[in-house]
Amino acid sequence: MKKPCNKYTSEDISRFVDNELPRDRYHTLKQHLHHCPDCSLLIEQYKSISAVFNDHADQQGLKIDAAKLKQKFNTAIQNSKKKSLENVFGFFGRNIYLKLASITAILMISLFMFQGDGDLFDPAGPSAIVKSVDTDFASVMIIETQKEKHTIIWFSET
Amino acid sequence: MNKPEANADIDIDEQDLVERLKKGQQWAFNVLVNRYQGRLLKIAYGITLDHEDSLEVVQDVFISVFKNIQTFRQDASLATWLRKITINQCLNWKRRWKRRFKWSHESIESENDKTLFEENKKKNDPETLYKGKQFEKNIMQAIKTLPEKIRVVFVLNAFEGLSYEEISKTLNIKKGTVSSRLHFARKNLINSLELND
Amino acid sequence: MIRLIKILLILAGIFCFFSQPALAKNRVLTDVKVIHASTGPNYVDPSLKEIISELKSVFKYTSYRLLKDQNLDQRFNQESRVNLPGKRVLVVMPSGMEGKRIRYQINIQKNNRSIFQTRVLLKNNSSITIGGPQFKNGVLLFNISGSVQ
Repeated sequence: MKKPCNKYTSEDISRFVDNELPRDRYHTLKQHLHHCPDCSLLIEQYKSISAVFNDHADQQGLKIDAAKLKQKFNTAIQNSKKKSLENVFGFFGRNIYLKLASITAILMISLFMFQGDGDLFDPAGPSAIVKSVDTDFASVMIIETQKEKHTIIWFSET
Repeated sequence: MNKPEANADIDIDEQDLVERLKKGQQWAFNVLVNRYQGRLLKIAYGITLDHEDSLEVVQDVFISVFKNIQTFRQDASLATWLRKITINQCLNWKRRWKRRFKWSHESIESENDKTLFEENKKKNDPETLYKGKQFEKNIMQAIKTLPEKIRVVFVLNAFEGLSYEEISKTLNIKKGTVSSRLHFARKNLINSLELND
Repeated sequence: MIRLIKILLILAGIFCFFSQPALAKNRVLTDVKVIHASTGPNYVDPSLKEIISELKSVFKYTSYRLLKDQNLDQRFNQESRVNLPGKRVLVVMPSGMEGKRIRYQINIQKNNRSIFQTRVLLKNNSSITIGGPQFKNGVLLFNISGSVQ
């Protein structure tokens, strides 16, 4: 990038374009542009980049199927409403004995797992069950592959 | 409160719209989507540079609004709130990493962009028009190389015309950081363009 | 369908009630593979053939080079250290069994400071992959497998 003249830095020019220079500095730079083709060119370059990006995004935005968005959104709302109804009335059904047996089974399974006597889903479960993760990095992801259920823990140092 | 006609673009003020949204009125959500989808899609595209991702992001934004509208305190405008949610969704790490991992589409570069430029080349456009398209192509290639946190600032400046103060509040960063990131973006884009010349 | 699920749940509950814990074992063979994954020219180290399809189903990397393969014969609660590129160290310790899974504590250190710790239950004769610190235009992946003896 061609540097502007020695009087102003490229960051000054950048801030000028955004009207973010202190008022007096803004005015002196504005005066300066009358006889500094380098600074003027840089301003034009900065403005044209934003303009081209803006236009491009406008065009690309038009290509995105907004009707699909509306349809998906409405479907998601309907599903969300259905789910909340199901949660209130649904899973256990009307049969009291099946209901009680299901609750008992869930309690037994929970006891079994908390005792640490075994993994109910072994060997069908993932290759590794992650019990805890402790890291300074904000981003950690735990993945299980589809085929072999291989466990992957991914963290990013940045 | 009477329900107005369900139509594409109702002239309803923001206060009224928010009240109706909080009441869960479906048509109010339709008005919200109609009113803001274009703008949010553009912001999402500017950050993700991907059509599918943008669509998914904005869909998630509207669903999030539907679920959390009661938490909207109206201390900022609806547009500001929506913009913030959109940016957070775009920068959401899971989504970002989806692009790195195989189950997402292969390339950040949109196939549509490629075909657009290739088609224009084949059409024997006048030279000036072709140069303009080439310039656009070069800029977009360069924009794709900008780190996402820099690109977000650039998008808010270029698309939304936000001041440094507004950008700093939206992203919870210092004003000085906004200035330096914008400058970084511009400097790098120009350097990339000059390398391509 | 829901009825079937309930019946299966009940059977599973009964199974859990009567099932026994895994046999007590004393030693664990831990294998640590240090892999450099990158988008360089296509290459897969032959020793990675068991896990490569799983890695490739997830990552976009095209080159997988084995930098190190360390075999550790450990007792329970015995810590072992594996030196890694980039002034890093991987510390791995099997600390017991839970059913048929080996309980591992895995710690990655950089410049003697812990940067990542995890506790996992690894299925016997299976492996887990952890990644990925940046390294030379790619990332490092650590594949850790365990087998009780």
